Amino acid sequence: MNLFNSSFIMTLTILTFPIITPLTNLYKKSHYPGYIKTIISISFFLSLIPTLTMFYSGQEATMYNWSWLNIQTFHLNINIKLDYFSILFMSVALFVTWSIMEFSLWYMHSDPNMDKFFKYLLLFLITMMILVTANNLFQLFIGWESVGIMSFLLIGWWHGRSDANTAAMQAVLYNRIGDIGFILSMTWFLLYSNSWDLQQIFITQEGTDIIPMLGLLLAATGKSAQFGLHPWLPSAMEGPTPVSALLHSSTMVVAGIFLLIRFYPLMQNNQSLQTLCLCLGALTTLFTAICALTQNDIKKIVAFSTSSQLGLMMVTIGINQPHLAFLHICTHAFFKAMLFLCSGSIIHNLNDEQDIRKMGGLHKTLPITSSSLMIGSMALTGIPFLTGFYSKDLIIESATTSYTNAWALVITLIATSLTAVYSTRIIFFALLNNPRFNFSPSMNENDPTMINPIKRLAISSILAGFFISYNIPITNIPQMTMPPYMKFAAILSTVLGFMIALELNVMTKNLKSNYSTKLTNFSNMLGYFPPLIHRTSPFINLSTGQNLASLMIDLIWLEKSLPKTISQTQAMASMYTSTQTGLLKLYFLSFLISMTLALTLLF
Amino acid sequence: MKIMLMTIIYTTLIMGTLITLISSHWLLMWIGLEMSMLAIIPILMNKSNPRSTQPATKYSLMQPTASMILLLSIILTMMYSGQWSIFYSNNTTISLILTTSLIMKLGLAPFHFWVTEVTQGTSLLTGMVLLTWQKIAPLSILLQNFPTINQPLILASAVLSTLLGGWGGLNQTQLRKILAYSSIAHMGWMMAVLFYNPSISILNLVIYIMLTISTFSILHTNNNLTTLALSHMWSTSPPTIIIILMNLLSLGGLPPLTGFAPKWITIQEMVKNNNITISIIMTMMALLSLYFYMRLTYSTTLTLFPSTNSSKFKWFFHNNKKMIMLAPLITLSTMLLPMTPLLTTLS
Amino acid sequence: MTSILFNIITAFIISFMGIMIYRSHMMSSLLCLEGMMLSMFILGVTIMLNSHYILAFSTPIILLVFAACEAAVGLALLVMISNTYGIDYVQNLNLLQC
Repeated sequence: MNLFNSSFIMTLTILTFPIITPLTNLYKKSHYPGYIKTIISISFFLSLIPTLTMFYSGQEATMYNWSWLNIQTFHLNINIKLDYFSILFMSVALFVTWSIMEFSLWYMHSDPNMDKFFKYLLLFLITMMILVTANNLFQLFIGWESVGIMSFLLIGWWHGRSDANTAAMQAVLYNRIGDIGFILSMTWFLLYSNSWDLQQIFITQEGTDIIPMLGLLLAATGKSAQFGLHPWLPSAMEGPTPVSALLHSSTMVVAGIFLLIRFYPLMQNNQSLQTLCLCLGALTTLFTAICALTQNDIKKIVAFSTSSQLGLMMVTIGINQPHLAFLHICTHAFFKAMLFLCSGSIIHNLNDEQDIRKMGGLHKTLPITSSSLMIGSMALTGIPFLTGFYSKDLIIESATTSYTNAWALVITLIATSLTAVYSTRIIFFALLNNPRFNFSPSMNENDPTMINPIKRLAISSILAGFFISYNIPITNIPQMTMPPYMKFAAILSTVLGFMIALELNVMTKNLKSNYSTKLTNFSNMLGYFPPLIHRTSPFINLSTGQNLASLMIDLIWLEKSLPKTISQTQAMASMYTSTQTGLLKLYFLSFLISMTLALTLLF
Repeated sequence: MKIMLMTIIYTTLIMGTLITLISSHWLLMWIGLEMSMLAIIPILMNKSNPRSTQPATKYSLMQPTASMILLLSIILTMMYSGQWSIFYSNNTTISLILTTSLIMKLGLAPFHFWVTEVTQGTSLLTGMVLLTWQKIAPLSILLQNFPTINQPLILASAVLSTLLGGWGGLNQTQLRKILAYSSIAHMGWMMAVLFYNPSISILNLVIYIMLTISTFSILHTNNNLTTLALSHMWSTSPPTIIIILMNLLSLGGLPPLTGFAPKWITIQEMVKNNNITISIIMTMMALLSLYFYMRLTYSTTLTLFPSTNSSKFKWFFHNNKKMIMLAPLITLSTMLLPMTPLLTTLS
Repeated sequence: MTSILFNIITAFIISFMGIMIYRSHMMSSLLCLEGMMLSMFILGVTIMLNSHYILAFSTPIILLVFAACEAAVGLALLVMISNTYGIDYVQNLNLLQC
């Protein structure tokens, strides 16, 4: 029992060493990035203790450590929740981050600020840990915001490029919109539950009130880049590839889904919110899959596939299967991190070439990367007995067998098949056929710091799903019976997607490229979403503001209506009353008129 | 011979006004008015040219008409009351006729057109006499008759005077015309408070006369007739432009200067008598007057207008005109405001 | 008395309207002024005689004296104007407009 808590605390504490030690003189000489990598791997192995304990005995715990603040009857404690979600997620995240850190040693070796980069990555991980282990909303909020800040710093890592800066700004701004929802919910819970402790909230609230739930949904939409607030996610590809890998696998983007999972005791009572989640998720997964179809940037395709998978997780929440969604988060982390690492390897070896049209034939030169990319793509599409299968297949099955609306279901199935299409596209263009680039003799994959993490993740992409779902202690998935066509729906749509995509790619490979159609444009321009939102609404706002400020206030009110009108009136009046004609007859006439008026009016 | 003639004329002018001031007999009042009116016409035509004939003609057509109307009202009063002394009757017609004729003589608003032209057509000193001395006699009749005069008519005329005086001055560059318009506006202020407290009107008149005389004197010393001439004055006598600044602002009624006192007391008196609307309107109209005084001070003192090189050497030509009373007048017309508490003895 | 008063006032008003409305020759304006003056003179005389104001018997004469003065001044100006412009049209007096 004590081992459980103490090893857990140890896992968390050890992560902070690399932040503290540079302040002292202890580790001045050692290789700082390598030190961080080692610390994370140690932390991962330490975290296996509580994880395996939990697998073995289903043990959970909550730690109340320190009363931070009392505001009358409102208590703010530092407390840590060690439940199924946080423990499992920690292990997965640490494992994935370990690999990513090791990969970064190779990928970022020429960067002058490498130490800082690693420190940022570590802080990113720590903030995510704070978010995951939080047992009250305040801690959760701290983690939530710090994740946002760290993502800003990391996406804008190459801040010499304006694209990177814009992407970082986009990430922060979109997350601020989500934060509005989160703060709304916090306020609501503070008002109606007088507590931010999760347990107390779950006890006192039934979740039938739509307002805090909508706030949480908005927060999740912002953080997890659901439809409407999604454009920051593909833009975030401006950051270094390890950042993308970390951002998309185990931190940041899953935080939104994780928040909804944390609040499932409230969510499961709220049918309307579940419907909203379902529709939103389905829309996201289809839209981003469509966008992924015509992208040529390898990282953008993978980013859109993440977005699509996040939509799928949202769908899972919408059909009231939070544990399943969490399972998908965990399995998704492995192969998505690996996909990014593979693309990082390809990009680096091709001298920073990201366009898949200029790749090809890489299976000869980069065999390990190629095979890992293949494994990752297959795991992503849910080919049986790879990691993705264990969660994705279950999600589709429970969706088809639940009383859900057919619209969302059909859309999800289409998106599943589209997943196969764009995965095929990456494989086909990047790995198969003949090279379409200038070959450089420096292409190799001999560096162990590059190849080991990929291998490790490839193995886990094959086995982790099985391992986790075999050992999973809690599940509320009902025993499902279904006809064969339903059972095979997921795999059939995937295979269909694969085959169609392969056929199309082979057929059109040697054709002259046509002018793009409207549909292609729609997909390639990301559904015209960023231009519409990023250009139109600021333009309208700014021009309205300008018009209000300059036209209405300055020109009309402060200038035209008061000073100009007054001066013009006075000048006109002055002209009319005092323009002298010098003629006596007019004077006499005016005298006569005014005299007559005086006599008649006043008499 | 010329000196003899001018002595007779000026004596008549002074005597006429004095007769009006001291008499309580209607006929004598009228005679005093006639005398000063007849005496001013030769003064207007001091330099006999077509330009000075015109104001004299206009004046000699306007003023007798007004005198005739006044005479009508006098004879009608005599007929109804049977006495020549001032008699407070409540006959509306007679009071209307009387008020109209006096307004006409003073050149108040609906009958103000002749004032500017006559002033413009004469020399500065004659204009000064016209705008100051000639106002005293009709005003004294008004002051002696103030319960009889028609209040709505006189108030309407007062408001119109301030309004038209302000508007008229906005459109002018000729200094004599501007001062004529300022005289119209000041007359409006005097008329406004006449019905409530005639002594304030008298104070108003005194201060107005002081201000106008000092302004005209300064202009006369340097012989400035237009704004442009005024704007070149820095080359001739730099101290004068500061004095002009103070004087004009005092005419406009800015607080630390004398000109503020009559406006202040007038507004106070009107508000005391519950006549807030008219006092507000007149205060706003004072802004119009203030604006054109400000414009004059701007072109005189505050900025350097573009000028030819030769105009910068005007100082070379000596100016022999001497105005003896200028220094005390300027002092009085700018620094009298601290003496305002003495005015409590007025009422 | 009333009819006389009415008559004389009418005469005064007609002369007044004449000076106000008739505006070509300056001579006619001067004549209208004289008309006003004379009507006032007659009214004064009538009232004095009617009411036996013995002390005020000299009043109409004084009025006449001033009427004569005014007429003299007016005629002098008329001569000046005729001298300058060759004709006594009132609308010629427009030198001071701006």
